[in-house]
Amino acid sequence: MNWLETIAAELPAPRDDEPPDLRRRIVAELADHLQLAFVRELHLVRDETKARERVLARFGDPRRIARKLWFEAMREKIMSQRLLVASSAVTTALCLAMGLFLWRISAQSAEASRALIQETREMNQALIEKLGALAAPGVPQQSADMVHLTIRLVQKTPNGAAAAGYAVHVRRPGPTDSPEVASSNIEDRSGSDGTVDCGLVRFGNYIADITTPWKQSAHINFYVRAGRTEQVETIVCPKGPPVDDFVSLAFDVPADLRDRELRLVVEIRLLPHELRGISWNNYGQSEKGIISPDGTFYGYGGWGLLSKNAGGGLQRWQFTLNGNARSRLRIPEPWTIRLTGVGIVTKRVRSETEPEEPLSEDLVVVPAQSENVARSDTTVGERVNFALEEVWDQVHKALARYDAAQATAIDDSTSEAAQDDDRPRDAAGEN
Amino acid sequence: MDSRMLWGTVDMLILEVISAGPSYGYEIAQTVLERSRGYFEITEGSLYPALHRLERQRLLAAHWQEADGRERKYYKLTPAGRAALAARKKEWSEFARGVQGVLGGRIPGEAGELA
Repeated sequence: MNWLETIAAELPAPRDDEPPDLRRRIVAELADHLQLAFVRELHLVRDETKARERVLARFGDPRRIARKLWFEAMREKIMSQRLLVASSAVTTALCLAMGLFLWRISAQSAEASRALIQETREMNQALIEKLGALAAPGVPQQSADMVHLTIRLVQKTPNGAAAAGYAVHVRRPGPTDSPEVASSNIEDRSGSDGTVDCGLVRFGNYIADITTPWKQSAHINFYVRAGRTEQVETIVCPKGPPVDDFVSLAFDVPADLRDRELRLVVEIRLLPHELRGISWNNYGQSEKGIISPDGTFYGYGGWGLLSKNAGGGLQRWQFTLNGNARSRLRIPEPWTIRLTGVGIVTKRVRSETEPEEPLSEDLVVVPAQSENVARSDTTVGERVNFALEEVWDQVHKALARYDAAQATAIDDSTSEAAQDDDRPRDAAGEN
Repeated sequence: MDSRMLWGTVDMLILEVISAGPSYGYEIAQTVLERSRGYFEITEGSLYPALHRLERQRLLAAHWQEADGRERKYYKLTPAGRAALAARKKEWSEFARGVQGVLGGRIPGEAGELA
């Protein structure tokens, strides 16, 4: 019997990855079995047809068994291939899904970008139109709000020479920590043409602080007017430092008081220098100082001298009354000198850090009864005479009371000392 | 017999038959039938898939040899197949003793015999 064709009839189509002798071996093995079974059955029934039928009835369908064996042999490769195909399909599907997702995201992003670009274009266009409107000449907004300000400094008169090298500080009035004031600060120094370019400033009130090279200063209020593109603020400044006056203080001291420790107490005030309605203060002229003709002349406070009672423009000076004293002062005009009284020295303070002269608290001041004031604009020459007659009368009386008090204090201390001396002796005698 | 009872023992029977020496499919089936006195009849539909499976499991090794003018596939036991056979025989003995014990019969391998 030829079983080979029967068995191989339903085997799957050959595959590239199939072992070359797989199906031949399967068919050969089954055919051998069938042939052996056929021989046995033929021996029993003596009929080939019946023998074949009995073999197949016992064996079953050899095509199905062959097909099963082939699949079992190829199972691993087939499953691997199917798994590969499945994974490829899944990968492809994922790639397609990802591509679709990215495409949709990209489409949405592009749409959003187009909308954003369009919105930005509209905003830019609106901004350009607004800026164009602002830049157009004759538009009241620009001139109404902002003005190009120039500070022009001249010497002595409005048509005077340019004041060069002056410090200029332009600011808005108000608290210095307010944003408006802080943002409006302009500090510069006038150039050779005497001007300071402040640029565009908002209309309103302003203050210009001007400081001369010799440290005189003034505060000028001015108003930047709206409705114009430019404003030049002219400020008349001093041409140079104030003129120093030489002042001699003359006074007669009674003969019986010339050996007493007395001081003439005066107040010297430096007055502001008025120029075209602007007050220029003279503070900061400390280097001018005071010249003492007899070496016993000291200042208290102000002007950078030995200072105890410093303050303001009102100065107090004490003069040693040394016979018919003549004190010669050098003072920037304008000035006033006021005689306030005569001081009786009650204590002398001498140390390296303090002046040789007594401090104000070490004086008993006898005030002048009448007004004794000398002014720079009424003083002719440098001699200033003070009428001190009535002051001397008061000084005599004060000295009498002071001397009496001192004598009483001495007597008391002497008496107490005597008692103290007795007590130890008594104590010694008892011992 | 009920084929379900044979299901778990086919591999063990095949290995046992082959343990006597190289054999081929038809001979294995006939040996089992004869040794069981016609009780176990392994159909070819079960025999060859089992042989091929044991071969893939490296419990059997196969070679081809010409016989009666045809190619014939012979199977022989590998060392791994021999160890597997011993393990399955032991397992089967324990199973049979358990079943026999429940059924009240003589337990194989034990001294004495129930009347």
